[in-house]
Amino acid sequence: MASQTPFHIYKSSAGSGKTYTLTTAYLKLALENPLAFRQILAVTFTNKATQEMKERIIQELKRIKNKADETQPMDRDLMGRWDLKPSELSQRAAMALTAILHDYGSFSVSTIDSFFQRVIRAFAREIDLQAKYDVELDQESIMERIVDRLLMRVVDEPDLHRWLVDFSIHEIQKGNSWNTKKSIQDLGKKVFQEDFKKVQKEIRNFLEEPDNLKSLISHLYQQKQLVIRQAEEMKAEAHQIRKNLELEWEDFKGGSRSFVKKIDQLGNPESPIPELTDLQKIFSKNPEDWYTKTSKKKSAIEAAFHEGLGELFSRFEPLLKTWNTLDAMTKNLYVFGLFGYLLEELEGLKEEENMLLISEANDFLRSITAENEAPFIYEKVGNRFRHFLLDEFQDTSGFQWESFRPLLLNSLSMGKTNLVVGDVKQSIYRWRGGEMRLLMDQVESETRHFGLEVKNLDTNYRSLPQVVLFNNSLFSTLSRLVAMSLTKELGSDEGELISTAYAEINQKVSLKQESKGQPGKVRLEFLEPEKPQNYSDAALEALPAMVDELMSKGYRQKDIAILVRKNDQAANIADAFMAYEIPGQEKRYEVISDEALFLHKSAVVRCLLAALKLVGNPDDGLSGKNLWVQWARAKNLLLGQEFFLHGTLPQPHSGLEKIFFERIHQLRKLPLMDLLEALVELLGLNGELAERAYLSGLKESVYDFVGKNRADLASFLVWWEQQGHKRTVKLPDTHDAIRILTIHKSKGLQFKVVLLPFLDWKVFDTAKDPIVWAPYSGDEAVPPVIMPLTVRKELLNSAFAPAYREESLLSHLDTLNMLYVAFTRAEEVIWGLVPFKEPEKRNGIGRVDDLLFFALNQQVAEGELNLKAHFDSKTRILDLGSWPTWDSGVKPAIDRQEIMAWKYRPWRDSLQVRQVFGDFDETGMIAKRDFGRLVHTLIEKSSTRKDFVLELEALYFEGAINKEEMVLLEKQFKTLCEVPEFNSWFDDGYRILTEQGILMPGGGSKRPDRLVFKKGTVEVVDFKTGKESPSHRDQVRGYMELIRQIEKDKAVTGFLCYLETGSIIRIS
Amino acid sequence: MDSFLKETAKTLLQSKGDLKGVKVILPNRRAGLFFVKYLSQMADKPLWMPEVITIEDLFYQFAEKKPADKLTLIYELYRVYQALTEREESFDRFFFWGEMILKDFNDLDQFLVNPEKLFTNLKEQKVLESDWSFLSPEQVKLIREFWASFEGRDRAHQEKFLKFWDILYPLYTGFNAAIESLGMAYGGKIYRDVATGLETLKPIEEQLVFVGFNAFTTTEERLIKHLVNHFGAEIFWDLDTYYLNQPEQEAGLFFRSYQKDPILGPTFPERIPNFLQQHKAMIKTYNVPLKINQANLVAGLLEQVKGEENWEETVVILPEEQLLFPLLNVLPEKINRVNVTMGYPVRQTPVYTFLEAVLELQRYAKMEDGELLFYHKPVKDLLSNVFLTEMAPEFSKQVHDELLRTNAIYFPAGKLREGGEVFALVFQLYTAETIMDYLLELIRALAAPLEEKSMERTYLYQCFKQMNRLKAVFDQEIKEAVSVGFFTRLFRQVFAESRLPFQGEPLEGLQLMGVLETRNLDFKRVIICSMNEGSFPPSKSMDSLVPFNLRQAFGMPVQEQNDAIYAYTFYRLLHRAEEVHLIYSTAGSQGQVGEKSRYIHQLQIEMEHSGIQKDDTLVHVPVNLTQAKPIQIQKSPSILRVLERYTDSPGEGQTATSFSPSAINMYLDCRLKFFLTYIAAVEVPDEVQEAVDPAIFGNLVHQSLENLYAGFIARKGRNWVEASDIDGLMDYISPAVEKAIRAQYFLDEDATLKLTGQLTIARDVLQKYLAGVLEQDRLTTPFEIISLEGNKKYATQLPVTTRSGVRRVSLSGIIDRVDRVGTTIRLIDYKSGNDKKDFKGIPGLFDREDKSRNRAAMQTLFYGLLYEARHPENKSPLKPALFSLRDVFKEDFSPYLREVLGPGKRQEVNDFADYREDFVGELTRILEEIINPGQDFDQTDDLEKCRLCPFSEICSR
Repeated sequence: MASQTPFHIYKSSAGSGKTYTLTTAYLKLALENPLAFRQILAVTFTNKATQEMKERIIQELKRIKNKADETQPMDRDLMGRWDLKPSELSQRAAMALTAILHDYGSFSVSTIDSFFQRVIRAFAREIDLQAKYDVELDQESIMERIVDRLLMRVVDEPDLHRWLVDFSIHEIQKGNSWNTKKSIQDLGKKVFQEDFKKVQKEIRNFLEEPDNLKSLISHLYQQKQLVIRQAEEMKAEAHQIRKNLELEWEDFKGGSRSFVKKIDQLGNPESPIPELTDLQKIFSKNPEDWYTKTSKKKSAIEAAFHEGLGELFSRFEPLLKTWNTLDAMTKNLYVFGLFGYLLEELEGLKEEENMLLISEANDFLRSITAENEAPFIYEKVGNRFRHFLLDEFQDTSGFQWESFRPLLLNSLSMGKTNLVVGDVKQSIYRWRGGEMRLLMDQVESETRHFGLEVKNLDTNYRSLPQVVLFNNSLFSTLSRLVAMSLTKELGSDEGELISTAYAEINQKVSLKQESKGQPGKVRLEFLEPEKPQNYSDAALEALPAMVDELMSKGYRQKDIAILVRKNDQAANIADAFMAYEIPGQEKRYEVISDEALFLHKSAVVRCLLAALKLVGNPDDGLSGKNLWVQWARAKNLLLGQEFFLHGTLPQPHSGLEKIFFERIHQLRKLPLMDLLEALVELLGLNGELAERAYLSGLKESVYDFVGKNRADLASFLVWWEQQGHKRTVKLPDTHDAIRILTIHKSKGLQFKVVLLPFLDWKVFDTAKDPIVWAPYSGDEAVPPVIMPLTVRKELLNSAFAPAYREESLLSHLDTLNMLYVAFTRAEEVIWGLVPFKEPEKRNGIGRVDDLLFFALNQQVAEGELNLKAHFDSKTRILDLGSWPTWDSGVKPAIDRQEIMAWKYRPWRDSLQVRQVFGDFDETGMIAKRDFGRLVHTLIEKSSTRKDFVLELEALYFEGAINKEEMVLLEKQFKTLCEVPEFNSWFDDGYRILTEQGILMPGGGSKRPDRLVFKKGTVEVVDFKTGKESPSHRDQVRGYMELIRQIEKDKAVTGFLCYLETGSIIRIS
Repeated sequence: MDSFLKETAKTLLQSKGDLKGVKVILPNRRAGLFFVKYLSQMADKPLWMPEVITIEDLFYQFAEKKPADKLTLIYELYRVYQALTEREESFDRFFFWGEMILKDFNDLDQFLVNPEKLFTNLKEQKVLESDWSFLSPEQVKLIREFWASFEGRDRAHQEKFLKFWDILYPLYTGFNAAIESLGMAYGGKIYRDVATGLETLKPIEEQLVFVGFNAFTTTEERLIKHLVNHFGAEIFWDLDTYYLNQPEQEAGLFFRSYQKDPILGPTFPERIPNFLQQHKAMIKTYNVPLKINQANLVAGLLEQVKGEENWEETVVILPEEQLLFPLLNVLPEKINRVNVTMGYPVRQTPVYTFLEAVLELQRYAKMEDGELLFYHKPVKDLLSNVFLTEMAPEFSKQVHDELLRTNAIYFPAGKLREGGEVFALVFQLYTAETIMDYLLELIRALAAPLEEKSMERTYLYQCFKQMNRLKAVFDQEIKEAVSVGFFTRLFRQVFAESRLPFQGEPLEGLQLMGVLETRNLDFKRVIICSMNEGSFPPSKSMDSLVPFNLRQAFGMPVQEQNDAIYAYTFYRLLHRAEEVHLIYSTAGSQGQVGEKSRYIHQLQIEMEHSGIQKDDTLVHVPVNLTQAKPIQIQKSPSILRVLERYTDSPGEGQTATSFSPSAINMYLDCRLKFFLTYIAAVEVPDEVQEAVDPAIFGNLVHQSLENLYAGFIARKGRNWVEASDIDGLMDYISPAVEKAIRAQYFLDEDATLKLTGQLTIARDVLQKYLAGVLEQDRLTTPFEIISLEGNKKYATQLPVTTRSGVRRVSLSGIIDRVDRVGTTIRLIDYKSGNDKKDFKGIPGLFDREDKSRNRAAMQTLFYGLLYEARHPENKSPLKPALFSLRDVFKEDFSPYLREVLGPGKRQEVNDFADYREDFVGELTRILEEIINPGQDFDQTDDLEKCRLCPFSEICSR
């Protein structure tokens, strides 16, 4: 057995068998002994991945249990580890599998979040959480509520009020809306992010002292004024020089477009220092560039340069930098000033509603792992982990790592094996805190002393040869391109990170893929939209035809995945496919997408929601219209002006609208779930086969809603307004349909064919106002502060340039990684669409299509696939490899058996809620008539007088009676007991049976109220309320007859006792 | 095959002949019902029915005590806890911890743990002293391990843990003493007392028979052994060789240990059945996409059942009880009887949701100047709630409308209380002292008008009972003042568990039940839904303050025991079934994925017989979508008739009306929107706007400026404004704005003006805007005000050619302000948005394809037409102007329109006359189109326009 290294880091490029590696590693630990699995924690990135990992482990164990196979590398590996024979390995696998299946709760494969949640729950008391708390996932709506709360405070807090008014005015002056709520929400959301949390202590400290903010503002304001004044002076100075030399700006080179005209822009209050282009900067230093050779004013211009105009231009740059610095800080100043309030409100809300924000889990866990030794944590959690296997490590956040590290180090220090798997190239979750540098170098340096094995998994098992080779070549070219461009743009070495991340880009083709004899296919088409179409319209139009072609090559819908960047692109694609008629076929393509199949697209769903709204508010005319418009859509009818003008439905449906209104009154009384069902029925939507998945989706929404919230209509409608639009139809993965998903969600998945229709996004997209937190300590006048800065190009020329550079670098890496993930999902075919642009219009790598364009026209390095050679510049298509050559006979679709039933039948038809015994009248006292019945029930249950009191108490504890009623009932019983006969029935000296059943032959039973066994006789007593009746006597006689048959040696006497009157009748 | 209970009944009857003096103990009452049914089926003469009870009943009978309710117990616990700790923890905060502590105390009593030993702090004590010898070496090891984790540095969390740990023993003893003195008890305590006092037990005359037990607590085990040993109690076990003989099968965990026990062992049957393997039941597994679809699948499976059927032999088991109603609502017609054991959850009844809303209202109450106010959202919800609308339909609607009209964010309670008794009770300020009485009173008032046997009344009565109980506990036991918030939480908790039983003959028809109710019952056909991890078996819920290792060391139940119990429940269902359907769903909640239950894995991997389907059946739901068709409204005679209203001959019985610039703009934006708004007159419902929306803000802008200058004219008695007037006008800004706000929200002049946060900001912004406008006006002084919005409506008509000849079409509009500067007449519109002043020629103003069409320019030029019509004598140039909020502060502000002639070339519009011809031409063209019967009202292609359109729903956009 080879010596064990406790810590393994696997760097796993796409398709390199990561799951296989993890599974093998898991089994190596789990097969040590049958219970070893309890000490392993495997951490995956998503819940779905958790399921898949569990399934995979079970499948492998099952396989090995049946037969360990020496030809399988995994089995060989495992057998080698303990020097086992195949049968012995099978034996071990069998035992481990059994152990797992029967202690399934200890089978720990989980997401990092759910593991953290578990630990936090175990420490709830120690970290001062309440015993019961809810984990809140929807942070956006939390922020909305916080801002609402903040705005409510405005009325009572003049400072806050003033601040917000200033903010509004400031916004108006910038040409924005006066309503700042959205701005506050947008920036406010940052409080949930790790970037903010890293600096939150400093920020809190800064904001706690109100003077700090005040002095910062006045400082910024003064400094800005200063710059403006300086600029104005410069302008005056320049004009003076010009005038002195009798020059006009138009005299300079370039005439009315001369760069010297920038001087006129000096002092503009919004941007006092005009920005010079790179070329202008060079010009400005060089008097020869100030005039044309033929200029008559050559000497005057030259003089102007030397008399100060040249020097004046050299002042632009530093002053602009100062301005940019000040301006960047002012941009978010107002919201920043509110952060203290926001955090305060957040605390308040959390306390009131007893919730734990999902984003806080990391904070709490950090404090737990910092405060406790690992053993104590395990004691509290009840699970002792000795091995950790961490997947997708490149997306682990700094906080997560910090929380995890103590546990991992604890394990390593005991010499236990641990494993980390990841790929820097696939780190695309930076926006969620993913910190790829951890995998790149930090973890190694922090754990090196325990002994470390870093392994690069360099074979691609996923894709066919041409796909692998294409990606090798494309990404080594792209990474060089990006690195170069960054170095150029941002300064020396900035591109190095990219080169490091992509150092091991070249993958080997696996033997298995090689041996298939299929090359695989890559196609990139540069698409030029015909006006007035824009690119995305053109791509949307092209897609269905692409799928047609794929189908003709023998692919099935489920083989195809369309990857996009944004959710709305997914939705557009889904719409395009649903509207597309396949040539020569009745059917349409089906799509599956978490991002696109929104419930609210369905007519049935819209119809029902309108109906619900109308039930909630019958005066809602808009819903009244919408209800029937959608209803008609679902029924494939079209409503004309008759409907819109007079509200009448066409024949034969007319009248339904009236029935609906008549029913509203009844409908409103129904519980929410029943209401929905009733509406479905009333509107005749149960027959709508087509949209069943959507209808089910709506029902499921209500189902989930009712489970967690106040189950009334008004709350549901509010919830739907806020959350419902995010709900999509869920379909099982096995469904034969085209997948549409975002690149983010595609991570870890693979598909036969990958279509990439929108290869056009911005490499470094600042449109969404990314925020960075950067320190400022430029001036002694203000205490050092960390501020939120909106990332804009201008930052590069400011005191915050380092922050900009970092952001730019990481964004470039994000884009490159995103492309990498997208291009490496394919097993057989990659087919991408790229917007075409005239080559000369491409300057720099602004967008992904620029990147691809340049990559295809780039010389490649030795041994790489020459992409250029495969690119046909006429057709603008890169074509590589070939279509599969297998028999493309169309596989018949499996005829699915419909085993579901949908017919509605109100539950009240088959079932009734039982009338609860007892009722109340206006005074709340239990009505007289029921009083007798109450006594009856009590007596039924009690053998003795003591019992009666106990039962009475029980009734009181149940809440059925109050204290006074209890006293009354007891009194009534006492009165009855004054009759000796009655009293004897409750005498514990006799054997007393209450409600003793008598089994009747052939089923059925009787229950006389009371049997009292006195010497030689049995007394049967039946208590009654209400009027005396002969049938009562017959009943007692019946009992007596039965008892005589059972108790043959005893005399039987019967009694009837009327409880209200106290009258006792003896029956013989 | 006979069911276990039937078999047991038979054996019992055969061996005893007579059942007098027999007491049968079963795990739950439901099993008892079935047991008696079987007995009676077998009786051939009248027989005494044996007493059938549960094991709890048995303990309570022996102890002659019943446990007190949880709330009281937790309160007592709290009192002792308070006395022990200096830390002030409110009852609110303590409650849920108390629940957990009480559960732990229950456990340790039930399992006869020595609390003193358990709660010892062994941090400093490295060695366990000799009196720990009652523990096995493994147990000692676990305890050592636990306390060893305290070695190392001192940490804050450990300190906190210890501090709490140290009081648990005194808390236990103190609590026990306290409740004893009150004559109360809790479950565990009763069990412990019975189990430790066996010697004092009175001789038992009855023949005790225990049927169908699986797992005993330590106290139960001790009692039962005693009864077997000394009183010849009998035990009938319901078990199977399959799991008994395989040590890894958790379902057999308890049986294996009982089998070895010297007392219990002999009670096992000689031949243990081997149903699971011999019987070869058909077992199928289904995978369904949504939870809700499980109901459809069950219905489908039931539908497939052929021929006459004894439905009571079929059970549908619902581990997630919420699935009950979806299932009940799709049951096939042929199922005529259903028996449900689960009960209707009170928290889903309208009554409950109403009460919850009433309580929630309290969170948003506030007192201002002695007046009680409620936040508008919950008030609105309540007003539309059926319970209030039923009570006073008129009143509810009236208040609801007033709420919308005045845009009241907070609404006075006094007004709300005028609706009658129920209203008076709902819109009260609840305090800890009054809350119960108000709620009870409210429930009564709600019930009063209802029919006696109605469902609602039953719901209400259930709530009443629960509340009464809560009130009693609070009145008599709990002296603590609790917050309304806590009460609400408690209220929710009480009702979360509360169920209304269903009517029905329990032993007939299709059986629907939860997992635990299936104990001891056997069915021919078993359908189990929610076969998902987390549902069956349910997710871990070992909430305990006693750490895992200590629980284990002291023999308190841990997850292992829990797992064993559930596994047994599952496998037992398969004992005698012939047909088993297991259904799970891949949808989870809250972003989770549904994971299939371990039991399915176990069956598919481990059980080998022909009946088991090894792969899941995937169930498919069709996913097609009906495309939205374009909506196109043809101009029918009736529509044409409506359109006549806009002409000089409005048609008989119709009121004449006219096109405003906004109508024209809307028509240009989208013909359908125009149709829905102006022809079909579809009303868009109002909302209370917490935020001041742009439309309202716009109104306020207009109104304030109107007030400002109208006030000026009234005060000064002249309508020209000079530079020296501006400073004076500045002082009137604030009242002008305030007046506008009052008018907007229909507030009386003397009503105190209470503004919301957003509105106070809006007010200040408005004031600045007005100041900005005045500054601009200062630059144009002197000017003469010709008209303000107040004397307003300008109108004209344009001849338009129609099929039936030339008709005059009416136009009208309100000009915010008309003034004269020098010789120029300015037609001014105030804008709160960011309207541009540049436009690309007159045709561009009417070009619906142009995405940046300048609506404001169209509108102000339209005013030119109107002004001319009123003042045909006018010779002065007419100059349109826009005062837009977002520009007015700019240094280079100019309100005048500019026509864009080319790149960088703009020309200011100085006189409407220069544009009149083109403008009228274009406008006439549009009007012709509107009137033209051949032009349908259709939807715009530009989806961007649909984003904020209230009718986007109708268009499915």
